[in-house]
Amino acid sequence: MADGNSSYTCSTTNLDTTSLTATARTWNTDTDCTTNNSNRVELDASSTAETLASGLEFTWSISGVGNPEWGWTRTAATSWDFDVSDTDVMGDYHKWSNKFVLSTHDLSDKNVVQKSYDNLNAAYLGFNHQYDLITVNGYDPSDMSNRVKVYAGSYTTDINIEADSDSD
Amino acid sequence: MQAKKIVLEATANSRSRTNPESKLAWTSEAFAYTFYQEYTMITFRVGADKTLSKGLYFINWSKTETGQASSTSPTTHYHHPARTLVEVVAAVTNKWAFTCETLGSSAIKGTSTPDIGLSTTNSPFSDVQITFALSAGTNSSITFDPTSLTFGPNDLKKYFRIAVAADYDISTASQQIVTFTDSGTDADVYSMPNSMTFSIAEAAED
Repeated sequence: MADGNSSYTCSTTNLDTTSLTATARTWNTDTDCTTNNSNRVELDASSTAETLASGLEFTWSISGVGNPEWGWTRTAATSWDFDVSDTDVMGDYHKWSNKFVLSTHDLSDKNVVQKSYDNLNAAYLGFNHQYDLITVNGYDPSDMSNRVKVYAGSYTTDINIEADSDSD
Repeated sequence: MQAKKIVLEATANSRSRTNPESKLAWTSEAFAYTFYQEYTMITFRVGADKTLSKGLYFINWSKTETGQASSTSPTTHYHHPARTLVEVVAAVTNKWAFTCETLGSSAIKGTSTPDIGLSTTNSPFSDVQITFALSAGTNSSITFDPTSLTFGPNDLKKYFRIAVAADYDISTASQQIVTFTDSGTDADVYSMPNSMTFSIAEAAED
């Protein structure tokens, strides 16, 4: 995801909520979740077929997702919980993590087999973390302006290396 | 700056022309390529050997970043700088000049003058040696301390003094002219000050 990681460690369990004594059971031994820059985390499906009952509660934990460096302020809505689209509460922002969607893909047929409603709780907003620049002599690679010019047999005068310090 | 500390490292780009590694050099003696969190700017200098042919070369950068100690702060705030394009111009005769300070008052017999600065804007890649002489010829009563100055890659200004002995015959010449001769690897690239004239006076008696 945009926090710069290329993979996370995950665990997947299910719990039979119809039984008071049941404990969480790992049903997929794969713990390596891959990710990419589109805020999507992927996990290989279990190779063993499972028959799931309606009382099973499914948990997928993803460890080590980086905290965003900053976020926007939010005033809690009084009427309903899902307020990221309420511009009265949140202002008119355009970068949201949105609520999570869980889906299963069939890699051979290249289609989405199942998809949840997108109402799984968002953890936080603002996955986008922008890096800051360090520039040498204000050099711009796109047009090669401000290149360093040195005369053979001598050194240049001091050349600046500048670090951006904007926080967003 | 956002990070606690960043140390940059510059390396020759392998796609540059033939072996610039030893002939293209860079130094950051004041900062050691290190940003501390109070800084937003550091400096470095690039130098080229006199025999390096003209061309475009690149310097690659890598960085080692130390993040702020905070659970909410990512460990990485910065990308390393884009590779730096260096244009090397083949050695130009008298590209840079040395200038010499002049004395504000006469040199006094029996004493040494104050330090006289000899400086340039761009330090030599290797070395330039400057030797002092008198245009009127050697005079045993006038000596230079030191007798010559050698400028290296980190030298922009150095100082010398002129000592006038008490037995100097002021009636022969109350003025002397210092001339400068350069030698050394990069001497061609630098022009010398034409001359530096100074007056000599008797010590005041009270």
